[in-house]
Amino acid sequence: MDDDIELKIIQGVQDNNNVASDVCMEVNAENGDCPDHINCASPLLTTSQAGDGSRTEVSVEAVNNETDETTLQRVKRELNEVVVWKLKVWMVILIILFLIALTVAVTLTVCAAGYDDEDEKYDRSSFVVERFFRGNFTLANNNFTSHPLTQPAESEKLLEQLKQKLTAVYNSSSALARYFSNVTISNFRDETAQFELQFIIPSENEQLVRYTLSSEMVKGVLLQHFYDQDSDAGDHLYVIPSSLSIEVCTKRTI
Amino acid sequence: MLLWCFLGLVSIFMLCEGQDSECDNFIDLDFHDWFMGTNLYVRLLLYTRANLDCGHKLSHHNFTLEPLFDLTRPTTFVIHGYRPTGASPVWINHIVQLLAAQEDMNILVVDWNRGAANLNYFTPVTNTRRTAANITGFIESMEKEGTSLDSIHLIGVSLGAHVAGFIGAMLGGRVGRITGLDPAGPMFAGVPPEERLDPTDAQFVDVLHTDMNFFGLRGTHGHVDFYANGGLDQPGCPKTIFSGKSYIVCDHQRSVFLYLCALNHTCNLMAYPCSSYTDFLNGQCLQCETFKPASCPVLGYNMSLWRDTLLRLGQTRVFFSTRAEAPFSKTSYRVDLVTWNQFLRWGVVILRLHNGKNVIESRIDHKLLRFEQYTSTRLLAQFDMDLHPVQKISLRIVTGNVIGPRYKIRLLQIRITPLEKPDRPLMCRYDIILEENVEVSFRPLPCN
Repeated sequence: MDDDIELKIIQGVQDNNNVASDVCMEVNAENGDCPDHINCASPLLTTSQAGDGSRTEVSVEAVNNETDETTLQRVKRELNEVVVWKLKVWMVILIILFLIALTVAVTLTVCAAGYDDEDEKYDRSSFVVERFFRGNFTLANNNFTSHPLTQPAESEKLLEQLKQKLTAVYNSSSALARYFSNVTISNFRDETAQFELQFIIPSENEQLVRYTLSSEMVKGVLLQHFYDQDSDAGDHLYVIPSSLSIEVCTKRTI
Repeated sequence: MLLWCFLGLVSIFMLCEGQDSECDNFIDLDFHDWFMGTNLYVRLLLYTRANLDCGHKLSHHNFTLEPLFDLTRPTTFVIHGYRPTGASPVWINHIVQLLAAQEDMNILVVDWNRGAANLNYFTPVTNTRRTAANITGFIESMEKEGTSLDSIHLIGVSLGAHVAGFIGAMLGGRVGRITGLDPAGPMFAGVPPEERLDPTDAQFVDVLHTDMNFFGLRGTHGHVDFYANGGLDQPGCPKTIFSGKSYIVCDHQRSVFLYLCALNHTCNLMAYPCSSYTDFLNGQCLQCETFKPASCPVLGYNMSLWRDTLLRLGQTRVFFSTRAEAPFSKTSYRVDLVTWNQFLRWGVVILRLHNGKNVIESRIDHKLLRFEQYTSTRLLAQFDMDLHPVQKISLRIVTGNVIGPRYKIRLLQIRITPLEKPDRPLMCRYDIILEENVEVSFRPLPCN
């Protein structure tokens, strides 16, 4: 222990419940002198016979306070030292921390913002091969189209609505939208609509045709839309999901 | 008046005594017996549908005098294992009741508690041969009286499984069936087949493993070996010694409770042929085509659907997972996912099924799954509860990425196949975009 630390003597500490005052420290007098015998009053403290029996008991709390104060003052003094220009050490530390945080934030932002989703990129001009699907479905509430010749205007309107509906379905499909070209709906026969889908795909298309543009997938996308539709009895565009069938066809037929 | 009451009570007491003395049930041994050791003494207790709660001790020689013992009916022997404290097994009455419910049969509980109860495990091990010789003699007498060995089924628990094996071997493997419930491992590991239960001991041997790393025996010992949760540690069993006795016996005893649950038909424990439990959990062994038109083997009393196929296959290892408590069966689905992402993605899947009222969840997170373009990722989703019909499905792929861009996983198709209930429809959904760590819900549609 440093010589310059003032050793305080505990004089007659009586309060056994005071934990801090219970803690005593034994220090051997370095110069061999034995100061007045100090009695640490805590009964919790075991008295040990150190060295030749001469010892000094010091309150740790007191010493710590002294040390803390000194260290604190020293740190304060050092932090306030000027490094360059008017910048003090604490300012430099803060600036460095801020720069680190900024770099991390900027990097993350740039990474996230600059992330190019390769799956979103495609070149439509490279899609050259046509692929057709043919299918049909039945409307549930199709009363007025039973006689299309009598109400041609209504029928035309319904065809247009159905076309829009199918176009919207395929255009909103993340996997199929880029290949989707158009849909053609022919006239009704017994409340069943015939339709044809046209997709345009790249020339290298073996895997694409097998998975993405398989008839199961093309049908599935439309079918799940039909299943999700509100089965409100009043909706004249309500399609009976189980009535849907789709198959691949080699060329335009409608 | 008081006198009449007293006399009445005495007569009731005597009546009860009288009834009790007619029943021969499993005998508990006291401290002295198991501490000092006991000499082997084998008792055969007959239970039938007519006397389910009251065993009748069969004489080894004059058994034909017992009117309830009908030699034309099938006979099942229940053989217990090592009884360190000499107490009667907690499951004895239960298994008798459940076996009687399967079909009209003679149930013979082999009480070799005097011989199995000993602090020194080696003594009961030595006694297994002598017990087997004793029962073999009895079965040979039965055969002389006209019983067919085909109709004899030996169910052995732990050491009892080896007793059953020895009986079978002594009878030249002609016994109809042996069921081994977690055959004992200590002193039987690494021994040649003739010194333990093996498939040559009976026409058909089925074995259930639940504690191969402690009291059970590793390896394959029957025509079909069922491995519950891989055959090692069982869910719900304590992980530390601080739980006391339960830590020691829980895994081993689970074999009996699983079998009881299967007999009770409250558990449908379907097991899948596979080379390892890991492969099974990874969804690589969910095919049951080998057993067509039957399903994969189901643990239980009636194995007739699979018996011939299993005999043809030689030895088959089948795996299944269980819940922590009864009913132990889980509901399993095979899930196939196909992505069209150009780049490989990794993650674990959390699948939730809703039926409007309840939600069940399965986390398939024992390993990172690989999502590769146009390649089917197959996984096994197991749920603690059954839920039908499924109205909504929630899917989340957790990648563990917390910083950086949020990747998307683009699915062409998800196909969910119920495994235990073939009559239920397959569920499909197409064209799903999943942002990593974000749940997506959808309504399933019947697959094409």
